[in-house]
Amino acid sequence: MIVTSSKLSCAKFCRESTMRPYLLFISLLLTFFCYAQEQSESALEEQLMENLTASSESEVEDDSKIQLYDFLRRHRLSINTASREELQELAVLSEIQIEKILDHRKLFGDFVSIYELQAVVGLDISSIRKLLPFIVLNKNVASINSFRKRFSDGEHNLLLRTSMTLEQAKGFRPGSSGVSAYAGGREKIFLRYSYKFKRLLEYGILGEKDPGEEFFKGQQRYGFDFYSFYLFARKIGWIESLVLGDFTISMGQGLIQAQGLSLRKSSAILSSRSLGETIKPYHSAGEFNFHRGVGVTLKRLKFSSTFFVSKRQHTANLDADTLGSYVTSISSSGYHRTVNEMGDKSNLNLVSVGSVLKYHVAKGHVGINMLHYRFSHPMRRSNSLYDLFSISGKQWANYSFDYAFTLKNLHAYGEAAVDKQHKLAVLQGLMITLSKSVDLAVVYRNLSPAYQSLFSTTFSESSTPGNEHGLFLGLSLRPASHFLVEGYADFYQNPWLKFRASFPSFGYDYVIRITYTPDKQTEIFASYKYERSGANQVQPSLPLRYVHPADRSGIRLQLSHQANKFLSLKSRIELSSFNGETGSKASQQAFLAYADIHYQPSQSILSGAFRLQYFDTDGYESRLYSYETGMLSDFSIPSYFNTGWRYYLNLKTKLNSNKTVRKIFGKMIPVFTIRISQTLMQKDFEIGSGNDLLDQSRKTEVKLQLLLTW
Amino acid sequence: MNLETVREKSKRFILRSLAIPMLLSKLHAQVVRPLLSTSTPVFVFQPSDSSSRYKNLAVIDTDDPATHVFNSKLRVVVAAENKYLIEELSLFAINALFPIAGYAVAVNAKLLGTGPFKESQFGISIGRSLGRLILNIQFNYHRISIGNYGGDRAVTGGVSLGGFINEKLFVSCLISNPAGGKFRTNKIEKIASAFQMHLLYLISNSIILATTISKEEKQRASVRTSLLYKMSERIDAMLGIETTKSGPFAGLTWSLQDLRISFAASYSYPLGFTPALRLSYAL
Repeated sequence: MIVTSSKLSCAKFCRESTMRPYLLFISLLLTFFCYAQEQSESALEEQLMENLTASSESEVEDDSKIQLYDFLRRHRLSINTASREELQELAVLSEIQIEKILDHRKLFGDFVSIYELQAVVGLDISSIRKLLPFIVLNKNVASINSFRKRFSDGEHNLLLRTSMTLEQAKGFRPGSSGVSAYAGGREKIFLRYSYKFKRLLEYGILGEKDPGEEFFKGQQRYGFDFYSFYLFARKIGWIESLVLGDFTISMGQGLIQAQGLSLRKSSAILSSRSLGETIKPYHSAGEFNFHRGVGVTLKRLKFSSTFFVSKRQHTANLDADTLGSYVTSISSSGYHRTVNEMGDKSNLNLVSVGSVLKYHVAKGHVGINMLHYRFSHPMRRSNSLYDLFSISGKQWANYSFDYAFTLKNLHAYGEAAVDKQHKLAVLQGLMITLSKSVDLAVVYRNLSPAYQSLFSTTFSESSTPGNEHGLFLGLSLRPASHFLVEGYADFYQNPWLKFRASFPSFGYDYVIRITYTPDKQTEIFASYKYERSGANQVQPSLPLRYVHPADRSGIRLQLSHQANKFLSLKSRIELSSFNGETGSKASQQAFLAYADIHYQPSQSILSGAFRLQYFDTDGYESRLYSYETGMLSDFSIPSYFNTGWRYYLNLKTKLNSNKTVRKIFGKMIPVFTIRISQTLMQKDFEIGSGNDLLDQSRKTEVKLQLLLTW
Repeated sequence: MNLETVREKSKRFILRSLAIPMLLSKLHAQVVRPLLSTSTPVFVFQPSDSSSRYKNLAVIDTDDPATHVFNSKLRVVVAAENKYLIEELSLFAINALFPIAGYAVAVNAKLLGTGPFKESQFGISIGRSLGRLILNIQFNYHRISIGNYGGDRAVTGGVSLGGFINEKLFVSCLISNPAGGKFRTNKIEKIASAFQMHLLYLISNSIILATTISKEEKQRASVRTSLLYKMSERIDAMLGIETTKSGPFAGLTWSLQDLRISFAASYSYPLGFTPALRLSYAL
């Protein structure tokens, strides 16, 4: 049943006790209309990241995009030399738009002015606006530099970040035996050194300790629980790219492999679906989704080939029977805090070998991708029926064929993959620019219930490819110069059981988003989302679980405004409802609102951001998410449920203007950031669960970060 | 035009417009069942007509009776649908639209179902352009037949009002059976009342966005939205979704002079495909 906003407002939000927060937000919203200026670049980044992580419900530790955006804002791409891959990597333009820019450059020569972008057919103002923070006009330098220059003229970064939750979690308190569950301290420490010279040379090392993990003691005698390093170079003769250390691999449309963030379903239907280059260096804190070894891409004429070999240890749970030990599950959390978690560490050795062969034509490519895995212990599936087709044995393999090409206003792409058991997965996509103001996207996928792959993410409802047939239709419409209407409908079915659905099920979702940009400084959008998916229902009187559709619908209103050169404001209101069938999940409603203030003067050494947020949900099923910018290379998308307030304050200061500081740091530019955030819940509400259960109904987190750049 | 020409034209029309439905009905066994509405929408671009006030809008045939006033010629439409490929749910409809002295008169017959359950509807609608507004009134006669239980009858009415908000946006509202609609014998049952809103947005001379929002009594609201794209002078394509059926639909239309042949199919999980065919001939 569709629940309308009026229903929400009448049934729940007119309660006298909760009216005050809304009045506060309305008054904050009203203040937005008092000013005027250009929308901040960070707001654009935030929107891009929200699009990238729209379908992600877990904590995202991959900050590679944030790092890329930050680097490109300081070292912008030249629009006259930017390659297709570089423009794809930004994820702000569609494939057709990228092709139009390249065509324009080929036909008319270099851009003489940034305003010439408006003359590119198919490039609208809003796309240009998204592109502008990352590009410059000048024809910068030769793309290939001497080796000495690569090692000497780049930028060094040293980042040290530490954070701690002030309230003590259950895992840190001594238990009945007098020993706490977590062996280490409460602080989280992240250290990263990186060097980058354009896109030609990068190297770095990082270490990370999660809260509860030991540090220079016990099992972590060498300090951090997780270390990562990489050396990455591009364009050395025939070698297009070379990596040593940690790296990610992306193939085709992600049916057999796509590590790192990849664009899934979102209202930004026309952003490039390309996963970018096959090999990318890995420099994030996530401890699961990457390879460790060596990889190389060779390019000659129209052919390119990539080969890689990786050997790394994974955290895995082992069990044993008369035939020996076997793997029951691989952990992707990266936590090694308790005796059990530490016991699982490095239990599994995984050797991965792969290759990608591509033939490039002027506006497209065809490719063959191969992957082979060897496990040190055999994988064994659980007894659950939904797990019937999971990977088993000591070896696994995936092969696929992929293509992409652009023809006038049409971009077609696809991938067909098989796994070791010869189970098939197919994905086909089409983007068409029907007219100057209409774009259409169609994606069809048919992923066999038995198809299995590792480290893969594709355009599907499920987080991994498999057990899904579906059709996605997306439309982007610009009815007037200040309006953008985007929407999609996605229909899918799961022919086999899945986690929390004990029967074959189906689902669909509809999204429509209307964006109004009255001027360069202001953006208002309203979006509506309705989704239905099959989920297990438990009826105590029945012996079996059964699948019943669960409906979710939500309305989001957001207003962003650049008040002046250094002050930008943003506010969001979100209403949501969930309708299950039985028990406490039967019907839940939710409300979330926040107001942001960003203060970022160009000359001043101090900048900051403040958010005040209120949320009120009937339960976990109606939880809401909101993207939070932290510090540089740090963001999160926490979920909120129950009733409470949240605020955070970020303060950043560039210390190089101070003489004493300059004496200490020399050429280095130190940037110091402090962040304080607090969630205040209703009394007696328990935050967290298990060992992460806090002893109070509030959560206060303090983060400190020092970034040195030279 | 002499009598011979009229006869020749009529013969051609009958042959062209009935050949395929006849074939379909043979394939789908005995009958012909009437349609309340072709639930797989088959939109058709109307070729520019110099006598039409809105000739630049390439207005389309839809289920919306308000658009009938854009017909400046006598037009006959025959449609058939095989719902979910289940013979007992097949549909058949025939419409005739007459422009008479500034009025748009349409008569239609819809037959639904084969076997023991059958429904039929016969209707007449009269539309008139009132400056910027278009008013349409419709009366329907419904007949229902359920195996050994016998049959029942009901009469319903509806009114629609539409108009161009601007040169690109056409909006109309249709209220069907706001009161009454009770069956003659069984006074407890009645034909449901319904509200429909049609929006046609002309994005460019070759693209139209058509949206219909329907709310039937005691049912969830349904949204059907589609994009109509004129690929060439003769071929139009359509792609859309319908929320109630939670599935997509797509179609193609060929225009051969005064004859238009449209084929469309919709898909709904778990019931499957529904193909539909529509022939439209202008005299």
